[in-house]
Amino acid sequence: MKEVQVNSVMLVDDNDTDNFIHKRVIELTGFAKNIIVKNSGKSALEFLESNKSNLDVLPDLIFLDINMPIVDGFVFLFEYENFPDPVKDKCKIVILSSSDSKRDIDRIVDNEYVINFITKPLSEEALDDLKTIL
Amino acid sequence: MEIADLILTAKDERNIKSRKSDISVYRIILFLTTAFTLLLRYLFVKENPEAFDPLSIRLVLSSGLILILVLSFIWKYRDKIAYLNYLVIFSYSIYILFLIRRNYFATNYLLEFILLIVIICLAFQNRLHLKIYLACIFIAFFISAFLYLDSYLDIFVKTSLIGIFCVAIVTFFNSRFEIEKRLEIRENLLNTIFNESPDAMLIADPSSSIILNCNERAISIFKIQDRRDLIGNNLNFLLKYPNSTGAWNNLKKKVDKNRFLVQELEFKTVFGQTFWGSEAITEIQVGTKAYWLVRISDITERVKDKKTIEESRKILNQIIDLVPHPIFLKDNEGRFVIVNKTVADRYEVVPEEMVGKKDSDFIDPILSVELLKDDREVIENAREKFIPEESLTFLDRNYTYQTIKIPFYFEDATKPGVLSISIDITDLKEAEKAIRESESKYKMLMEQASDGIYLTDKSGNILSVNAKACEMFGYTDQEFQKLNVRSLVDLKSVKEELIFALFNNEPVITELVCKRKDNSEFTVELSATRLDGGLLQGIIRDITARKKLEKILQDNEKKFRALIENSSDIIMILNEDFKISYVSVSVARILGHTYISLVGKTIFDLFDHEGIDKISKFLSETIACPGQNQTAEELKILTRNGSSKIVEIVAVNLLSDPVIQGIVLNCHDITKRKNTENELINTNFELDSFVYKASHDLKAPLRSVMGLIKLAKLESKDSTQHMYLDMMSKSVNSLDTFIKDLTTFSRNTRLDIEANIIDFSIVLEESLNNLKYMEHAEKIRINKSVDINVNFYSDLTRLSTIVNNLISNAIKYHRFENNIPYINISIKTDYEKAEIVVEDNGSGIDPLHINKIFDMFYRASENSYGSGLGLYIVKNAVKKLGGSIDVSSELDEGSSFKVVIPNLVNDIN
Repeated sequence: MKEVQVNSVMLVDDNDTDNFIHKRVIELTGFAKNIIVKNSGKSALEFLESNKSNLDVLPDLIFLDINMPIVDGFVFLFEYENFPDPVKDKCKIVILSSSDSKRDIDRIVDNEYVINFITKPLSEEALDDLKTIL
Repeated sequence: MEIADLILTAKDERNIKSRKSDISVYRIILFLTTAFTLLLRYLFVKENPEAFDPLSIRLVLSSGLILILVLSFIWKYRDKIAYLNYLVIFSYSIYILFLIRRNYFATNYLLEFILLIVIICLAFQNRLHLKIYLACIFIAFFISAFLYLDSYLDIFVKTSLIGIFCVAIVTFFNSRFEIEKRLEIRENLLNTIFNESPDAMLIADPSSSIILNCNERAISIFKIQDRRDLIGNNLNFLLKYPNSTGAWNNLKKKVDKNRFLVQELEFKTVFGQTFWGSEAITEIQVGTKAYWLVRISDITERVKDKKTIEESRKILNQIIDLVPHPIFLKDNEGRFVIVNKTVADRYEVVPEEMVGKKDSDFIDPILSVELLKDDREVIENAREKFIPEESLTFLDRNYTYQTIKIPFYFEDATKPGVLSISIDITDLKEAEKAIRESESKYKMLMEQASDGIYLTDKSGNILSVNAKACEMFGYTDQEFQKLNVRSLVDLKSVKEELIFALFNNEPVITELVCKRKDNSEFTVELSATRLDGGLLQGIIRDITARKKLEKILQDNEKKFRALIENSSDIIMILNEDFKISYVSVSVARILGHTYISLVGKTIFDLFDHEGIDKISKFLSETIACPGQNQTAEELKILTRNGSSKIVEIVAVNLLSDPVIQGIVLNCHDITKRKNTENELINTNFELDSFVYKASHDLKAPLRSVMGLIKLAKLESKDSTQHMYLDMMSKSVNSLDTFIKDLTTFSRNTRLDIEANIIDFSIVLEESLNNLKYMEHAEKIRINKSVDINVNFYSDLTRLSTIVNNLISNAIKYHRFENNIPYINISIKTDYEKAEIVVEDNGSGIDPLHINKIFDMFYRASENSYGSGLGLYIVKNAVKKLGGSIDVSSELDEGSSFKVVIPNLVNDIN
């Protein structure tokens, strides 16, 4: 199994506690060098918009929560469709949700940029699995 | 010559003509012979010249003779020349005598002689002349013989000549005398005929038509005084309708042509009376003048008779034609003489066509032989024959007749003909037969009738009854004879209509109560009719049973009506045009329409545009399956105020049912039910959303806690802390499982089944994947056996729940002390079902609990750390899928769960 080094990830979750936990887990496991934390879908989209020409700043992976106020995971994915291809090629999306509802999973997995679905909490094992997909 | 001859001569003009033409032939021969003789004489006598030139005399005579003969051909003078003929012969005889005297008589004697013979033959046209001639010859012969004594030839010739001479003289005078005498006789005769004729005779001038003479009869016929009154008048004077000039000319032409004309005309007397006369006009030639002999006979009587006969014959024909019975008269040969229309109709011809023909001209001669048997008998025996009844067939139609045939004598016939008069008694016979039949039928009916029949006199005394009446009342026939109807009837039950009808002699049908001999009562229907002569006939029928039945029927109808009218459903009957012929009163309660407003309308008036499509489709399906119940769910039916109700309609096509003759619809109001259902669906939806939301909101913080515990474990090295953190983790997991179970349970209860094709390998794989992180899971050996032969359809979520739960239970309640733990999973499918068996050698279930393991929140094991919902959810999911679950278990040995789920392949189709 080859060891993949992820340069940067972005955490999108309205729950600051979760963001903290996930950030810590990623830091502790050394999964990625840089971690960008956005506590709303809106701010995450704004970040992508402002840096869409600057591919180096953009994250390799986006951990996206589904259940968020105003811009939830679904809205985010809808807006994400409109970004230019280089952005979409660079940023892969992993859903990180406390929901294990089949309905939610089916809706999300249909999207071509979503590469995985992880149920909270984020664990070492889940990150190891993720590495094999990348 | 006889008078008869004269009359004949006078009468027969043509006879005279023929004689005249004979004479002309004689004359021609005379002329030719004379000419020939003279020629010869001229040739031979020339050489004897004499002082006295006999030749010139002969020439003169010969020329005279020729002249006469030529003249005789001219019509007008013919009769007068006849006398000259004699003169010529006489002169010639003198001449020859003269020759003889002068001895010029020589070789030419012979020629002269021939000439004489011819002349004699021609001249003497009758025997009398010949006799006289011969007598004269004899006398002359003897005188000559004694006086001259010349040669015999000489004597012969001389005497002959003398004979001729005498004959000529005698003939001359004789004929003169005879003609005169004949004329006299003729005149007398004619006068007699003329005057004494029974017919009126007139002589008229054809050119002016003036009457010249008339006879006595004419005087009397025309009622005139003297014949001078008639003479000088025009013939037109006699006619009722005088002829026009043109008609006269025509008449004249006709008479000129035929010299004879007969016509029948109406004449008039001088007093203006008219009569019918037959007028015969004969043209007579008197010398050069032509006259008309007009003979008029009074034929008034004859004409009248003829007319009368014709008329009476016509009347007779009309009368016998009118007679609807066949009448005919045949001669002895079988030919029809008189036939009436009825006879002719049998052969489909008119009577005129039949006269003079035989029966065999119209039908097969073989058949006619049989038919004419009676006719022949009458003709042969000349005796009349009466045939009381005979059946005859004409042109395939049968007739029954009563016939009389009498011989009928025609004039100048040896055998009589036959006159036949028949009366068509076909109808009579049939009527007789019908009467006989109806009489016997009536008797039979009366005796075998299932109703009692009786006959009473005016005052109600019973005269006769039939067997059934005896049976009904219990009296014998004899006992009845002494009874009066009043004693048989409960007079209180008699209705007014009966009394009224009896009073007015009208037939009536009424109900009343009768009494039997044993005084028991029974209800009857009486049909009473007044017969001729005041008799009263009654027909009674025991209707006690019918009354009872009627009562039951009425009660039943009342019950059914109450059922229908109080039903909360609308019951309708439609005819084949979908028009409402009946609707139960409940329609008013449910839809607000009245019975009156709906009956006669079509069912489509009760539906909106969309509803009409549905109902018409539904009704056509109903019509297609007579007698079968068809159900239409959820149709919107319009109420009176324009809103709508939802109904379920059950319809059955009973169009061919003789009583219903319609389509019966039962409309059940399901509006409330439907509303409740809708509410329930909404509630369910809301609840589902609530559960989803709630479970998420419960889970989210829990997951955060789980994350924090994991983080704490990563960052701490203290073993005591690790122990606490593990315990925390276990509790949090337990709560997480419970929330998950609650969600699943809620889903299973409320969501509909969604059938999809199932790949059991994937289901099993996913399930095992999910469960691999469970405690001790890695210690258990899992044996899988998946045997899939057909496409299997079911609800994937529920199936996963079931498999998940069973396997997780098997893992959860395993033993690890003394054995090698295993779980055997076997899945088998076929077209009808899938069989899932999960078997383990775990802790097993105490028989005390085995009945309760599927109960909600029941936890059978003390070691159980679950929610107590797992098997409850499994049971409900299995139930929802229409399957079954069985468990067999032994404590400390293991458990086996067997689930059977039906294949929902048909739901897909």
